[in-house]
Amino acid sequence: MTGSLGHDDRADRRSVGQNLLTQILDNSLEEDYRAVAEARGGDSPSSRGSRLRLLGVVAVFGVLISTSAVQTQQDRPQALVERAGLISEIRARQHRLDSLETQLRTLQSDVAALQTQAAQQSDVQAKLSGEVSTLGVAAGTASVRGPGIVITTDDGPSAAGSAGTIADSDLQALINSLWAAGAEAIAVNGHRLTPLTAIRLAGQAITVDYRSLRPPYVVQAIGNPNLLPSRLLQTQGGQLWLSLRANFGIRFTVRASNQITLPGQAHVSLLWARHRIRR
Amino acid sequence: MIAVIGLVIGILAGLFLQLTVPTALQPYLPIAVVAALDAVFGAMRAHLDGIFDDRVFVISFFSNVLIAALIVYLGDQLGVGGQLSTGVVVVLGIRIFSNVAAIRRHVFRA
Amino acid sequence: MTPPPGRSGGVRRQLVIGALLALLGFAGATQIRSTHRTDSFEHQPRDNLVQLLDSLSAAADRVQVQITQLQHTRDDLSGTAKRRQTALAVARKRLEELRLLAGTVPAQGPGVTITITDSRGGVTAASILDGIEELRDAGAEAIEINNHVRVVASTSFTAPTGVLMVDGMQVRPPYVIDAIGSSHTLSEAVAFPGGLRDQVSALGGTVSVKEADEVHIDSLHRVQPPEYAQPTGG
Repeated sequence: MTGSLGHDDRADRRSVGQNLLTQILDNSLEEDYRAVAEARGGDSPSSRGSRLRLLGVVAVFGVLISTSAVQTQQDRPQALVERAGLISEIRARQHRLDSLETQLRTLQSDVAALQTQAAQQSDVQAKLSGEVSTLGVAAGTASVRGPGIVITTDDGPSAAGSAGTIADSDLQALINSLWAAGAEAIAVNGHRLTPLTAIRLAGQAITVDYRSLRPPYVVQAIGNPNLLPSRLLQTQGGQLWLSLRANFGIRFTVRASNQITLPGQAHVSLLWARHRIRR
Repeated sequence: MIAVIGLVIGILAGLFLQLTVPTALQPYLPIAVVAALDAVFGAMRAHLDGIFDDRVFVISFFSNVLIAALIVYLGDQLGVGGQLSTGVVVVLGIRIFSNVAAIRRHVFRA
Repeated sequence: MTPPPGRSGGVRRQLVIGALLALLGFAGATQIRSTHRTDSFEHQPRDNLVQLLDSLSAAADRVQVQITQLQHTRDDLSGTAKRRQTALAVARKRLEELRLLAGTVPAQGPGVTITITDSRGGVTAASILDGIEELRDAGAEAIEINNHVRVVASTSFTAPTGVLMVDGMQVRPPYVIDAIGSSHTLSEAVAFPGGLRDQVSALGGTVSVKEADEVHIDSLHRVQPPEYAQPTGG
């Protein structure tokens, strides 16, 4: 590389197909100096003017370097500030994302808990409504449908006097006998009987649930339609009514029915009784 | 000796003057510095080879700076300014390395 | 690399090479460590940071959308849960009352304890039934006889063999009727002219009424699932 580069030499190399890298390496500045030196023939001039020229160029070089350095130094804070802003923004957003994700997880567990609660609630609700419907039949608050019998009674002819009039105790006895015969639900003239229902005489009228009824009294009872009539007639109440019919002309007909619908009694809140918890 | 004095004067002048480079010229300054550096190392090598010539130095210095800046400017116009300045820096860097290697051989004989 | 054998200069050369390689290794390891240790984006180019910023915003937006949806779901669910809770509370209260009415749970409350003696055996099932109707008329909410038969809607009073059978279970005198309700109204109903006291007296028995603030009714009625009566759901 430091050897002299004649024209032949160069041409030779070029023809071989020099690659870019060696070309760069070979074409160092120093080549120009060598060419000039060869042209001049070895004597190096050292005039005053050339010294000043050298001084000037090197000074320009110094100015270039320092200016460039100063400029870079000035630019750096700006770049850093921008970068720092970017990074702090990234941190802030990461923070926000973290808190959002925490919120999301909390929400997800809340929703899951609520869903579990909903499932439990519907379980409880199903259990409650199952018991409510079973007890509602017994307590007379649920309307029910089923086979059974319809008993129609009416006072005897007015000629029979008070003996031909149906008394509250007669109706009580009939109802009592129907329960004894296995009736599951009973209504009198459309009034469902509940544990709170009293059949009483008030003045001249029979009341069921404090409502005065007028004859004919229609008693509907849901139960086994095949067994209810025969069992009823075996009871004292049944016997009583047979004799009432025979002796006083009181109407007493028993008819089986495949489909009887009894209304539920409106739910009445209990005022006095409460669940006794035994410890 | 004169060269060292000139360098010191130049650096001090640059530091004291705190010249602000116009924004339009800012991308060319670093390249110009590297090109100048190449010229300076070439001159040092020539000096050690005993063939230094101040006229060659002056011309090579300014032409280097100018051509480097021109290439980068052209690159900017073509939209490949970044890549071209990288290329210029690489070429100049290789030349600086090869010149410094020659200087090292002179100084340390190794 | 192979040292010329038998020369002390070879050892020194080996040491120098070793030291330089050690320096290289140290520098490399330090650089790698510092690259890994510092924040992942501390050394990243600006463009990457901007991109990171964008993707963070996008992720936050997505999560925000999800949160909004979930909040709706949660509000819906908690609203439903609250309504259900209310419905359940109502259903529980209602069930509790139904259990008391149907006689499936023990009851307590103010009321009366009526003791009917029947030394001559003249008291009939009908008169006991009439007495029960009287108590119902006076607002009795829970009734039991002789501490072991709970009187409910379907309770029957019969005496096929002369012995009182309540719901098919024998009940012998003296008859002790516990009734929960307004104790004053209940005791008045018993003493009403033509009421239970007069009836029983006419049949040769005696009636004593004791008002109490707390009457305990512990006997239970077993409710069989109905065979024929199906709830209509109304």
